[in-house]
Formats: sequence, structure tokens, C-alpha cells
Amino acid sequence: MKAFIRGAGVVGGFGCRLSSLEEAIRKHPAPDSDPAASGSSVEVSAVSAFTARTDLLDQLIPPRTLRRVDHYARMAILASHLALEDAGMGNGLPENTGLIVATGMGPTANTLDLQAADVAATDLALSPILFSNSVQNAAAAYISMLLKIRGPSLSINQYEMAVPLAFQTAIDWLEEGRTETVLVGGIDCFSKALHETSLNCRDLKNGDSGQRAVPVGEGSTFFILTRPGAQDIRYPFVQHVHMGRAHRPDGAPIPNTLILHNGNGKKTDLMGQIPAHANFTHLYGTFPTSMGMDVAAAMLLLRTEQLLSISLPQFDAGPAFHENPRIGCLKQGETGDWGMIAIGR
Amino acid sequence: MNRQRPVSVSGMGCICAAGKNLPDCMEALFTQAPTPAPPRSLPGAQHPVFEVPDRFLPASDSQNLSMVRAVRLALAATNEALTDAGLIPAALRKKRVGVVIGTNVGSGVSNRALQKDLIGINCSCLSPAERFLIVNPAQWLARHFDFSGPHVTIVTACSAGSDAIGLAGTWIRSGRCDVVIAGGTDALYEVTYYGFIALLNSDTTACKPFDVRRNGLNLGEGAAMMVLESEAMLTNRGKKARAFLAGYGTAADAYHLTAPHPEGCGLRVAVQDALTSAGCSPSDIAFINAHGTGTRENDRVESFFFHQVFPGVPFGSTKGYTGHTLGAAGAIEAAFTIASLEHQKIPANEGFDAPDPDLPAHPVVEPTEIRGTTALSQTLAFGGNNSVLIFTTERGA
Repeated sequence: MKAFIRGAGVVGGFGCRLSSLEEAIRKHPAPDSDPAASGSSVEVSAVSAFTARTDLLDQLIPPRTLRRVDHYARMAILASHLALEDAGMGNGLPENTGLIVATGMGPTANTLDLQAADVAATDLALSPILFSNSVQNAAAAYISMLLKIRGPSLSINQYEMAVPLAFQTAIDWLEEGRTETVLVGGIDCFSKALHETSLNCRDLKNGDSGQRAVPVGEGSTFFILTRPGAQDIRYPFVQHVHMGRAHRPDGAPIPNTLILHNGNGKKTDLMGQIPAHANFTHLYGTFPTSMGMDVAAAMLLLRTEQLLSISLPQFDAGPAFHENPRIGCLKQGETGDWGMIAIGR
Repeated sequence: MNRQRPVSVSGMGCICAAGKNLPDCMEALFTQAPTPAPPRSLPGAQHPVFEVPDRFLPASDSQNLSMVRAVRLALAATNEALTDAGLIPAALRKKRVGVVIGTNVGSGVSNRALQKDLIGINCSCLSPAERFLIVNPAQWLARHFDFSGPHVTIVTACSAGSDAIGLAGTWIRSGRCDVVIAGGTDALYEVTYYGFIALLNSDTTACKPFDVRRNGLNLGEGAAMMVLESEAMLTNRGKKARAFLAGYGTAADAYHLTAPHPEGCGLRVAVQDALTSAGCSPSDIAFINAHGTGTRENDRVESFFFHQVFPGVPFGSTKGYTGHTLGAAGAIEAAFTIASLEHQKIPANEGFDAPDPDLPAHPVVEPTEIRGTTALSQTLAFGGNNSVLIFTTERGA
């Protein structure tokens, strides 16, 4: 079953809202881009990271309401709010709207210090707020409370495959009539401690520079999906979601069209099968759930063909593309799993 | 919510403080509950917990440095479930086998959880992906058994095990998988241990669900797994289902981060969705496995809800035998629910002695015969998640 995208909200190193992402795409086309030349990339020791700001949230929700909310959940709440705003549903979502929150690492950055191994257990000095924010579904809980979402709710932690699994589950819920509307999205926050320690160790192990080809990032993207209907459809729809593992005979059903891929800069075995590919990781970096950013970018490219020609001039949008305009968003993970979300007009 | 086709449960496995496998657990539930004690793994800690004795786990696993405790528990329960279903993992490699696991601790990539479990590995040298591969139970099991289907870890706190089984049902019904290994796992972990103390939700003595003196939960650890199987595959194997997953409902309270909605708003919707998807009504329910944590608010909400929606239906909490196993709780209690249907008897609500005069409905105080083929298991989670499973032992029920 296809699922229609009613609206989307994005929060990343480039800023907030789809308009910011669109502007970033126009200003910094994909080919020959310097990964560190755009967005609000900041140097954090050996790691160059795209970090996100959430100041806008304080204009949307009274700060007092948010006083216990950490950066991880703030990004998710803001992206959710912006998705509602974009869908023209600012007055509220339909009753029984479902919520699916995907994450690769959960609120790790906020809890790493708390969980540092060299701190004695009795000295953890856990505050109820700190502990509550460390629970993996805290972001979903805040979203449901603030947006009054009372339908089915699910939080998924599956590293780089979390986003395709969340989209697949959203489509399943729509198909089985569990709900008519799903707010689905992904979130990950940058963890300086996690990346520094692992990169420093790699220096020691491999003697490499510790610099990745593509900077890491953080952010959140949320989408409002509905069953096909008579709504005002401004965006393309989700055609299908596929997942699998590399080196298996069933292979990846790569559509013969433009593929937005999102990885850590390494060449992967699936890339050879792809006719035309590009990435926008120079705008938001890469993180486990950054595939959501690709889906948002693909939406914009399919909505405005001029944007496609500006940002990806090397892509030959021939008759086949015009007949069936679609873009595949591919994530091939470090674990060998791959996920593909194909969206089309 | 539409009525859903029931999905076969062909095998089950369980490990927790009550027993090293499901038959042992059920025997403990009907004879003698284990006694909670201060955690051996947390020196100096005083609040009692239900720890899984090391002798319950295969000794060979402890030599495997890439297995955190939550994964060891999950593997033990999975092996039992596959054996119970009469399935050999190697024979499943050409089938579409999915894995859905609910957990809390099992999904953490933190230094602390890793370092605690993986003595001998310098965890600071692990990349985020490497950490994920080690701690994520669904990923770990899929790799271990070389299963080719989708795999996902669900992190909806205390309802994660229920949600995992509910999602697995969808994967079978949609034809995406021939078999799904579904359940929950969680290990005792000092952050959750001290976290619940910080929330003032941890009892300093044995927990007392629904009792007037109830004063919080005891944490526990364990895992339970189910083998959900397509009708076609079960028929081809000439096997019969032990039970059927008939209904699943989930809904959010949208009320409070750590407290349930006082009127059970989300619970009401989740139960209604589960009943609708199962095509049954409250009068069809033979008994209810309550969430029954022993906290003041949870038990109050459930008691009022049972009084209003399921008047006269026997119910009980099994937390007095297992402790609150968090992400595993929904799966462990789902396994107990099916096994109780098979026994046609439910265990006493351990820890309940004195009824709370402010509560309108009270749990069973002794092992109780039940009549019927359909039962309900519910979980109320941190963050306002409510998830409900309905099982039946009769396909046409």
C-alpha cells in the first residue's frame, strides 16, 4: 500500500523547517561539495559534526513546559511540531493518530556521562528527571503529551535501519486499519564522548587520521503519513519500503532511478548496482537515522523539478523519470543491513 | 481497528527468577515464589530484586565476550522456544524468519552497560556500530542464527515485550515472514535500579501488587520468546499451534512521563483495539494477567478499570514471582498467560494479603481454576504506553 505524506518537519545542522533544507540544497548542490562547507558544522576535537539548534521550539511551546526536556527530545518535539505546521494541522491531529519514533542510539549523548563506567554506582546521583530522560521512549512520551497523540505508539531502536523499519510499521498500521494517520520520524543526537573515544581508538588501532570523509551529525525528521484519500496532496507518496542484508541472494530491489544514499563515505557493495546516485550528507552529516533527511530531501526534489536540476545537474531526468518520477532513499549500514524507502509522485 | 486473522504461536521459552524454562516457571507460579533479595551484582545495594541465578544460564555463554547479559537471557529463551516449536535453526535459513525483541537495557550503547558485562574488552575502543552489534538483542539473534528476515528492537519501556509480539503478528499476517521470533529481554542494570529508587517507585521489601500496603516494585530480569508461525508453514510441518495471538492493541495516555492516566485513558483504547482485532468482547475473557507492579498508581488504575470493563473476571499479577522485568515483562507475562490457559488455572497474586478498601476489584489470592479459552495480558509503561495482547487456545474462538 502507498502512504501519502501530508507534511514534514526537519531539524538539523542546516536549520529548521523544510524551507531551510530547500534553501541549503539550492545553495550547496550535491556534486563536488566540501563536506564541511555548509550547514552549521562545528569542529569538536577530531570530529566535525553538524549540530542542530532548537531555539525555535521556545516560540512554539511555553519554555516552562519544556523545562525538563533534554536536547534529544527537544529536536524530536520540534520536528513533530513543524510536521503538523507543514501539514496545516496546527490545530491538532485526528483522534487515534499513531506515533512511531525511530532512533539509532537513543538519548545516548545525554546519558553517557551519567553512565560513565568509572563512576561508582552509589555515586550515580540519579535525579528522577535525568533517569526519565534516559529511557528510550522518553521522546515519544513528550511528543504524545504535547501534541495530544493518543493512538498507537511505538519506539524503535535499530541503528541505521530504524527509519525504514518505522516507515514500514507506519504503512502496516495504516493497512490494517489500526489508525488513519501516523506521525513517524527519526531522531539521533550527537555524542561527543562516544565519537571521540571511538575515533581516538581507531587512530591507535589503524594509524589513520580519525577524520571521516563525511561529518557526523544530529537531527530529527518527522512525517505525517495517511492512507490514500482525497486530501490535498502536495507531496509525493511512499511507494514501498525494502530491507535486507548485503551478500544475500535475494539482493536489493534497486529501482532504476535516482538514489539518494546516506552513509559514512565508504563505498558499499550495493553502490555498483545503482544507476544514478547522490547524497546530501554535506548538509546534515550522517547519523543512524539521517535517512529521514534523505526522504525529506527527495520530497522536495520531486515537488520542484527545478530544484532537482539545480542540485543534481548530473542527473539525466529522461522520459522514464518523467513518466514515473521517483527517488529511492538508500541506507546501507555499517552492520551490513540495508534499507530503501522509495517515494514517488 | 479491523478484526485481524489470528496468528499461531508454535513455541515458547522463558527464563526469569522463577525458573530456567517455562515449565519450571509455571511450577514455581503454582507452588512457591522465589524470594527477592538485594542484587548480588550491585554490591551495597539494599532494595530487593529478582535476579536470574547464574546456574540458569548455559555456562558456555559466559565465555563469549560479545554477549551482554540481556542477549544471553534472550538466547536462552529463544533456544527453548525453537525447541518447543520443533524447529532447528539451520533448517530455517531458507525461510523468511524475522526477529522482534522488546528491551530497555538491551538497547543501550553506553559505556557502563558494556563495561559491566564485557569484562576483557576495552569498550572505549568500540565504534557506535560495534556497540550496537553487541548490545542489540534482535540484531544479535538474527546474526547468530543467520536469519534473513527483518529484525527490530522495540524500546517502549515496560510494554516493549507486548509490542514486539503484536508487531510480529503483523509481520506474519502481511506475509512478510514465515516465522517470527518475538519477545522481550532485560537484565538488571544499575542505572535502572537506582533510577527507580530515585523515582520513589522501588519497594524496600517484597512487592505487594494490589495490596493495601503496596509501596512500589521490585526490579527483575529475564526473557521470554515466542515462535509465531504462518499457517502454511505450520501445516507443511504437520504441527499444531500451542495457542493463537488473537488480538493486539496499543495506545498512548498522552498524560505524564512516569504516571499512568488516572482514568486509564490509553489503557481503555488499547483494550478496545485488542478486543476488536480479536473479534471478542469482555465476556469472552477467562482471566487477565494484570500489569500489577505494586506501585500505588498503577494498581489503582488497573483495579478501577477491571471493575468497570471486566466485572467479575479473575485477574492477578505475576510480578511477585518475577519482579518487574521491564522490557521483558510483556513477553514473560504473555507466555504465562498462554501456559495458564493450557493449565486452565491461574496462579495466586503473590504478595497480596490485605485488600485495599479504596480499590473496587481485587486479584485472586490462591491458584484459581478458570473456564474459557481466551485471556488477556496488559502492560502499562513508562511514558504512558499501554499495550494489550489477547491469546486463545481455540482457533475459532
